[in-house]
Amino acid sequence: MKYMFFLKRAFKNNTMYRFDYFLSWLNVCIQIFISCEIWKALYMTNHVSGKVSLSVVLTSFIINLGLSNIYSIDDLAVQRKFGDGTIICELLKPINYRLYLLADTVGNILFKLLFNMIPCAIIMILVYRKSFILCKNPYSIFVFVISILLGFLVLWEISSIVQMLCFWIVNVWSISTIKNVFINVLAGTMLPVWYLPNTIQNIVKYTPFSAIYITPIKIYLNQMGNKQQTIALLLQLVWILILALIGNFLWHMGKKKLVVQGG
Amino acid sequence: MKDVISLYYHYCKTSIKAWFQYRVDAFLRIFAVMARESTAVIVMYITFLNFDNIGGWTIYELLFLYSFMFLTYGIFIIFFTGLRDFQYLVIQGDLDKLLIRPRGVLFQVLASNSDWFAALGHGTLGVMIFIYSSSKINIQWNPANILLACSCVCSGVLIQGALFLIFASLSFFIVKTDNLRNVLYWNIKSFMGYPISIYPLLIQYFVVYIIPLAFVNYFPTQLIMGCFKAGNIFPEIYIPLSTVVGIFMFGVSYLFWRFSLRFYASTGS
Repeated sequence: MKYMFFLKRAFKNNTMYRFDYFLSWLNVCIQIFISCEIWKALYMTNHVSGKVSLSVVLTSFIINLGLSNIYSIDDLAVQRKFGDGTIICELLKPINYRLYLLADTVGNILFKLLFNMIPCAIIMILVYRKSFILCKNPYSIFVFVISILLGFLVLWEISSIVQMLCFWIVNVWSISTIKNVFINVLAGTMLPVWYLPNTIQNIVKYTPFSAIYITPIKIYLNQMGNKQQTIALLLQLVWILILALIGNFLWHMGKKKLVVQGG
Repeated sequence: MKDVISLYYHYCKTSIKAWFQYRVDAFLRIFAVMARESTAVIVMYITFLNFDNIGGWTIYELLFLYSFMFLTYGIFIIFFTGLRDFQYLVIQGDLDKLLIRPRGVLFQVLASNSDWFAALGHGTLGVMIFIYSSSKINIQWNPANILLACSCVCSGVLIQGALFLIFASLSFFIVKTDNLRNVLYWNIKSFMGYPISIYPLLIQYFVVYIIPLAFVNYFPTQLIMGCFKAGNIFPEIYIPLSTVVGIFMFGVSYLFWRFSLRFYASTGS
């Protein structure tokens, strides 16, 4: 299939820079390590059991930061193609443009998953082997993997909407940055979700932010009953649909008013 | 000297004009930088709704500690943006242009660009947190203390400038220095908002002796607050030493810069 080709191409592009790759690997490990150390210190100096146990916090950090580091979605990709005019050539090809962008991103992510996340995760799990919670239930792991995939699609659709905004706004960098702030705070990347104030937690439940990382992590940690799991998975699907519709709508609206400067 | 100042002034004027070409976009970007940088602060604040202190530091002391990172970076980037983006000069061979002009190369690199978005974003955030947090902890703002704070900020700028000068010099030897800098500077900077005493020993030694960012905020805040924090495993003499470290490091890195400039071989094109 032609989209598989785009996927493979993106994957191969990544194999070019070896030293770079090694350093980015170190980067992820340091990030996870530091977050874990900060929370360990917090639990140790305060001598109180927080809302959840330390091992839950550490496990969620390892999963969450690991995932967020491989989800490298370039929000400026479309805008850049506007700038240099290459979008013209790509629009001429008989492909669904948004699927093409998705295939490109997935190729990058698969590379990072294999060569970045898996080694990092193994190292971090070994470092924190005393606190890391290993999920032994194969059914949970199966649901966990599915919900990771759905979570990624939610994140992708959010980014895709930001990408499409470049038809109307000259520079989407600021909007993309502000979007990332929301994801970092509300989706649990920098703050374990249990420590958000209760009112915010209740609101976040009904936003796409909780569908990205929080749902998979809660499934992994067995914090959801069977019924809740099904609802959470359905909610992820609903978000994907809604966001995809908005994205598609923006794409079709934008395509009509496309003006390329230079090229 | 007068001629150098007027040249610097002209460089500044053109760089401001270039950065603020699109006004709405410029202010949106400054706001975005501020929002991005305040993420860590917001997270810290929410965390401390549930906890009381970390390694003996309260939330206000932590914010005070963090504000030094933002303040120094805000000032640093006005002067040192040229070094941050230096590798592109080497990759594209634009450095040739600077080499044949009758002024110092370093001066031209430093003066020719300032990232005003980052400067205003970090700077405003830094000032806001600094004022808020220092009003919550007991600091006597007598002239001596104000002078101390200023000298600490200056030395923080110098230390980071020296680090970037070293990274810039390294780009003569290894062309792509991005990721190295990511690991050694950006990554470490992002966790300097917490007192280093909570980290494992290896990391503590690393940020004191190898990438001495501890002298940018950890020791200076103790100096200004006038206390020796529990958990500080380093000698008390390190606390007032920032200025010396700053000047010394900048001197050494300048010598390294002069040394490595000789190895520049243009890339052609």
